[in-house]
Amino acid sequence: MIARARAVQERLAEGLAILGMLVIVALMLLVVADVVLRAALDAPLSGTVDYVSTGLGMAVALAMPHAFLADLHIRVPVLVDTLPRAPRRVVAALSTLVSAVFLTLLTRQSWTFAAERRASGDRMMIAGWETWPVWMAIAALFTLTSLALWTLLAAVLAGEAREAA
Amino acid sequence: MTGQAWIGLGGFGALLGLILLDIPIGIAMGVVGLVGLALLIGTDGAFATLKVVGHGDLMSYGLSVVPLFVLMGVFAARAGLSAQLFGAANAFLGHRRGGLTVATIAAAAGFSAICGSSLATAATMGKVALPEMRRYGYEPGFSAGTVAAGGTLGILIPPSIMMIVYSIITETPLLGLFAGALVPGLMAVAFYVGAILLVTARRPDIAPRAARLGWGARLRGVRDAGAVIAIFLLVIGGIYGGFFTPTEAASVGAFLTGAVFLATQGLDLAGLKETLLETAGTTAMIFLVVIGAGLFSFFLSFSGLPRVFAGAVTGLGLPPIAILLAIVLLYLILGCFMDSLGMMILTVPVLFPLVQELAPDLGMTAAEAAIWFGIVVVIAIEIGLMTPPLGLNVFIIQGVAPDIPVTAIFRGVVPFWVADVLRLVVLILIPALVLWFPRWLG
Repeated sequence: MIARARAVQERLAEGLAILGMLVIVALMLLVVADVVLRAALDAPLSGTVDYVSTGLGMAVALAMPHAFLADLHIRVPVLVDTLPRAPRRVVAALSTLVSAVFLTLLTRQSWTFAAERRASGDRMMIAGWETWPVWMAIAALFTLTSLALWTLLAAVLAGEAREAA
Repeated sequence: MTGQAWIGLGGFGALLGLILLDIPIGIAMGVVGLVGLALLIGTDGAFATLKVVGHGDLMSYGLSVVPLFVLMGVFAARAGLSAQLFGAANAFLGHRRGGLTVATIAAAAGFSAICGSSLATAATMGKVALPEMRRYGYEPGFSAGTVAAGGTLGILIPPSIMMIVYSIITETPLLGLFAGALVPGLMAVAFYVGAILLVTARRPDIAPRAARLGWGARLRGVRDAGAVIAIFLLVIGGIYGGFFTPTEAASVGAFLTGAVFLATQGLDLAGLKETLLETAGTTAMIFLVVIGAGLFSFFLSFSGLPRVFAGAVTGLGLPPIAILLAIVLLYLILGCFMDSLGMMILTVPVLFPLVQELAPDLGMTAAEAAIWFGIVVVIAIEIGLMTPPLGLNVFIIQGVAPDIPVTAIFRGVVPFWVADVLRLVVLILIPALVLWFPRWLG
């Protein structure tokens, strides 16, 4: 059950990460177009800074579940590598628990932040679009990251995964 | 020391403890920052800070350089540009004694100019240069050590991801850092080549001459390496010349390396998928660190620890140079067992205010000290990449050539390690070497 949930999450996380980087590719093309139009026709694209900033937030949030599930975050395993198997599993569980708690708290604040943006009617500086839908999407993606971490913790405790997150 | 500063010190200890428990550094910094802020300003204040800091950098135009430069580097690594650079350098230098190792350093420097990652530079150069050096009977340890050392140029020569992270942590303008890295980067190449010449003069048998290539091969090499040179000139020249913002330069660079990738590899969907996933992983990793470091820096500022630490150190009455040498020694020691990014994130928030305080005694403005210290830190970290027992670049090369023992690679790295330490000392004693170009650019 846990293994199946993890497999589904890993596939989903990979898909989201690719989507996030396609957003970055789109931003890259937008900026290149802006540069070319500015240089050639003195007609830069309006709102590029807004779109790049907003797109970056989405791209990072889309990539976050994959980075945790693929264990890509920086660690210093000098001590853990010297431990026997059993204590290493305890450390892995503790590490995943701490990550899950922190991400859950960050997620909670993300929803609050998004709700505040909605209430205040916050808009992009030049493009003029309301920002709250993007913040809601980011909060939803952080929720997904938190869920993935709690699933990973369950897997570590059940002995179905040795790696921490 | 104030009670708040004690909490700051306790937080630092807790951070080290969490890191030793294998907790990701970004998470460990975030947790300590949050708990520390709760102790200093209450739970509501701590959560309010988490809300602001945790999201403030997510939509920052300035930070968009991170995924774009990472994408540029990954495209460059997968497009086979390292092979073209090595081919060009080899055509001109390979027939000299130690020529293939000099060509490796030259190619690594060129590759670093479009790839900001040291590990990627080491890995790709290893795959390209090691087989060629083996073919001509180069001593394996020395060959592998050369590639490991050449790889470290990736974090110094712009565009460097490590410098981008330093710029985020200290709010130092990226242009100043990229400009400050120019002379130290050229010095690195010169010092490495000097080390090779000295070693091969003493032991000519470890690096025999390869076949001399004619002018036809040389011109083909220049043509093949032309794309890399053009991209570098456009991207970094564009930033230096004020034609592009760093985000625009990174976009143009990623676009062009992407085009080269498609031209050389075709529509390789699997390769594209791997490229995007690698970029995603590195980007998310850096942004988690940015969020955690933001919270931790807030906590440290509230505790007043950096101020107290700076006051205590300057109060010792030691000459500034002695303090700086002690800082370098600290980095060399940390480099033995810490990851480079972790080392920077942990130390810079505490040491940066100290260096800012020392700036007038060193004959610099605070802004100049920020640039100069950034270069010093990056070089010190670069040395850590080839210092045993952790020296990541050495292990990357061992992954590429598993039959060469790690100890042999570490021995091969020694001349370059000494060259790096010498260069660092020179840059500490003569800061103008770092600062003249940023000053000239104004």
